Amino acid sequence: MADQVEGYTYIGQGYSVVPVGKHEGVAMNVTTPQEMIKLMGNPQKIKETVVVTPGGTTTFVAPLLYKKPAGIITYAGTPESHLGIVGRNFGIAIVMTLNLEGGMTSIPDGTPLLLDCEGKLGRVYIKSEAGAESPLPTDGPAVGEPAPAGVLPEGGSVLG
Amino acid sequence: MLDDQAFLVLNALYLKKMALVEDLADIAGLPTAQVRAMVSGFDQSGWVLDMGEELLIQPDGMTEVQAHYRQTYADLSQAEEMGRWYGRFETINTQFIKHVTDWQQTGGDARAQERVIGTVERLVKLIGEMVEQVPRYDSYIRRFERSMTTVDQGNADFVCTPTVDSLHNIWFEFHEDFLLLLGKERTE
Repeated sequence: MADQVEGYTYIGQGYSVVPVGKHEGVAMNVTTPQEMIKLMGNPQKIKETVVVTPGGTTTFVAPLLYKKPAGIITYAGTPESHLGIVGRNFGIAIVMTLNLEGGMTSIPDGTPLLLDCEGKLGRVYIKSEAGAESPLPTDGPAVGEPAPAGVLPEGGSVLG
Repeated sequence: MLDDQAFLVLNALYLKKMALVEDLADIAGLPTAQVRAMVSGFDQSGWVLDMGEELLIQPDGMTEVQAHYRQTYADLSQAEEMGRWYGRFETINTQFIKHVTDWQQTGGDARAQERVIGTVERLVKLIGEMVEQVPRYDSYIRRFERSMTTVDQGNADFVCTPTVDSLHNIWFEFHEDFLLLLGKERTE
């Protein structure tokens, strides 16, 4: 399958802002400007972090890009956005409008992630052993807006 | 409540989140030494965090700025003309984002750049109509015109590179400012 990477478990896909290949980092959910400001005060941590923004407004995380995070995941928005423009400039792995699959409803803080950004698609994986040690939540409301079918590869998972 | 000059400086940092004293002085149109002294006071109040070269806005500083917007623009935010201006802004904002994205994806295509500049000129005209109501918006016109001149002189970094006072950076800050003034939330 196209969406398999050895040692990792595929969890979903969305729009890729810029084709920068594979990047790894540890998930941190940033839901408010205040949390973003707090993280900006720790530049070293930012570089190891995949920032996950569960809210419908994603623009507030744009200033984090200046400190070169390992990646950004959003559950809303498109590459044609302020966040997309800044991300493209910095060449940072960004997956927007991620649609989680397999019953997952969120990505817990501390989850080791791999972002694979090729073409218009961004795929997200977790390290397999991490998934085995700490089962991911599958209850609660689903997150993510569906990405248009036009960006999906043949045989790829269906968004929405 | 912040005085006018303190608001200009702290608001500039609020909109950028992280910045140098020199950047804040440029945006506020104040001498750097004066802004440095003001920022020192903000630091003591816990409104900003001095990280050495860069300054980072803090939650208490954000609260101060938001309170100033609410108190200063309570009446203006309800004015019919402001709603009309925002409607016009939304239209050209969508076009601007598309044109900048096109410019990036075409590696700086000249026609895409013309469309970016054309959209900025439309916004400058719109802001010009608002300056009587919001005099400090004049500084956005000054910055846009300076960066458009730099782009015209061949420095493409000033289209949308985040680390300079690029057209996209100024646009982004104006958008945030306008939303705060109107008490609106972002929808993107």
